[in-house]
Amino acid sequence: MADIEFPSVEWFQALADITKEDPTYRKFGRLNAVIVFKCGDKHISTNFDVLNIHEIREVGENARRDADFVIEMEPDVWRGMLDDIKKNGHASLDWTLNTLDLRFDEPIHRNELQDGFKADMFFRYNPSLQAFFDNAAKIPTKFVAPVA
Amino acid sequence: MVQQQNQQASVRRDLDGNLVPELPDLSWMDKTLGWGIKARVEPFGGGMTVDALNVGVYAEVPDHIPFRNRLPRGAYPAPGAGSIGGYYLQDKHEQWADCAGLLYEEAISRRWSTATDIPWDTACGLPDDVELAICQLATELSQHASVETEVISGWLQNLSPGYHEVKLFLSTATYDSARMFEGYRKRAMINGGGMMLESPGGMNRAIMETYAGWSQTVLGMWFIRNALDTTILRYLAAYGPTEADRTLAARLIPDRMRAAAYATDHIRFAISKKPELPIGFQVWLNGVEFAQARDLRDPVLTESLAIIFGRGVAGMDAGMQIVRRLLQDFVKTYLSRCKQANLDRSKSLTGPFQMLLAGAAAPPRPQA
Repeated sequence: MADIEFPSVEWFQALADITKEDPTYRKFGRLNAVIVFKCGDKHISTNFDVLNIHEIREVGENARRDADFVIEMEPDVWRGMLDDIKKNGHASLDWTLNTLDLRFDEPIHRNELQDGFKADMFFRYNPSLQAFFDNAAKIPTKFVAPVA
Repeated sequence: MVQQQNQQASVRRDLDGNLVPELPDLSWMDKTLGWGIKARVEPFGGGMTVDALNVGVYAEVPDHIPFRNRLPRGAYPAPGAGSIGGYYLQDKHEQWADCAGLLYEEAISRRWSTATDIPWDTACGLPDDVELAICQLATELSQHASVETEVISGWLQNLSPGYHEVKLFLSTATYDSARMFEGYRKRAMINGGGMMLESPGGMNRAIMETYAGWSQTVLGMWFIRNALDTTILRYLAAYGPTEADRTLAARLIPDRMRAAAYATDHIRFAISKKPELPIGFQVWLNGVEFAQARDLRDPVLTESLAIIFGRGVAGMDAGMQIVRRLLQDFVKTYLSRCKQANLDRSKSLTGPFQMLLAGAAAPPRPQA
C-alpha cells in the first residue's frame, strides 16, 4: 500500500475500512456520534453509526457545530500519537486519547456549542475510539504540514 | 328437571337442525390499542431498538401514569385492576430521560467482563506501599459501587412500569455498578492485599438515605459521587501502576458515563417540566457537597492516590500534586454536569468545593 497523507479523507477512510472489520472494535459495541477531527486547518468529519463508520468528508470550520464533539490536537501532537501507535502497534501510555485529554491545559475534546452531554460521548465511546486510532499502526502514513 | 331444561335450551342448532359446537369466548381478542402498528428495524445495522418500538399509540409517553400497578405502556388495562400499591413515582418528570432507551441499548451492546477482559497477569511486581495503596483505593471504589447497586435496585420498585425505558436502563446500571464492585474487589484480592479500610461513609449514607425522591438521589449519586469516581478512574487509566489497573479503569469509564448521561438528561427534563425544582435541588446539593467534603477530609483516599501516582510513599509529594489536579477536575466535572442540567452551581458552590476547585488537597476543617 502506498503512503497515505495525514490528515486527509483518504487516510480516515482507510482507517475506517480496517476498523469496521476489526473484532476488537466490534466487541466494544455500538456507538452513535458524528466526530470532527481537527489537525491544523483540516477538519475531517466522520459518522460513527452503530458499528458502521461512514460519511467521511472534509468539512469547513462551521461544520464543527454540527458534530457531537471535536477532537483537536496540534499537528505535532497528532504526529507524536500516530508515530507512537506505529512503533508499538497501539498507543502506549503517554499517547492514549485519555492521557492526551488530561495532559494539556485544555482537553483535546469539546462540543462547539458547549453541550456537555454530547462532549461526554468522548468518554462513553473512548475504548472504541482508541481501537479506531490503534488501527493506524496498519496504515502507511505520510505526514503533510497543515497550515496552522 | 329444571337443570335438564336449561341444558337443552343452551344447545344451539343450525337451520338444518344440526348441532352447532360451542365456541370459546374470544372477546379478549379485540382488547388491543395498537393492532397493526409495526415497529421497524433501524437502518444501517442499528437493529430493532427499544426506541424503535415507540410508534403510534406506543409512542405516547404520558406525563402521569394514573394507576399504581404493573400495566405495560400501551397495553389494554384489565377492568378493576386499579392500584395495587408500590410504584409511587407516577410522574414522568420524576424519572424520565429521553436518552434512557439509547443508553440501555448501548449498555447491552457494550457489555464486558472483568473476569476475561482485564490482563490480570500484569497486576504484579509492585512495591508493597503501592500495592497497599491500590488495595485501599480498590476497597473504597468497590464499596462506592456496592452502595450504588443497592440504591438503584431499591428505587426500581418505586418507578412506574409505564416508563419502561428508564427501568430498562437502570437495570443495566445495577449491573454496571456490580461490575465495578467485583472488578475492584478482584484487584484488591489478586496479590493478597485484600480488603482494607472502608470509606468514611458520609456520602454512602447521604445517597442511601435520600428519601426526598429519585431525582435527589440521582443528584447525590451521579452528579457528585460519580463525578469523583469517574475522575479517579480517568487518572488511574492514565497513571495506574500496572496495565491491569489502567485497563480496568479505562473499561469502567464508559459504564460510569452512561449513568452520568442519564442523570444529567433526567434532571434537565425534570427542570423543563417543573421550573420550580432547581430551588430545592440547589439546597439539596449544598448538603450533599458538605457530605462529600467531610468524606474527603479523611486523608486515606487522597493519600492512597498520592502513593499510587507518586509510585510509592517516597514520591507522595509529587503524587499529591496530581491528586490536587484530580480534585480540581472532579469539581469541574461536577459543575459541568450541573450546567448541562440547567442547574448552574458556578455561583453557589459551597466553600469546601470552592477550595478543591482552587487546588486544595482536601477541604478545610470547619473552624470551632
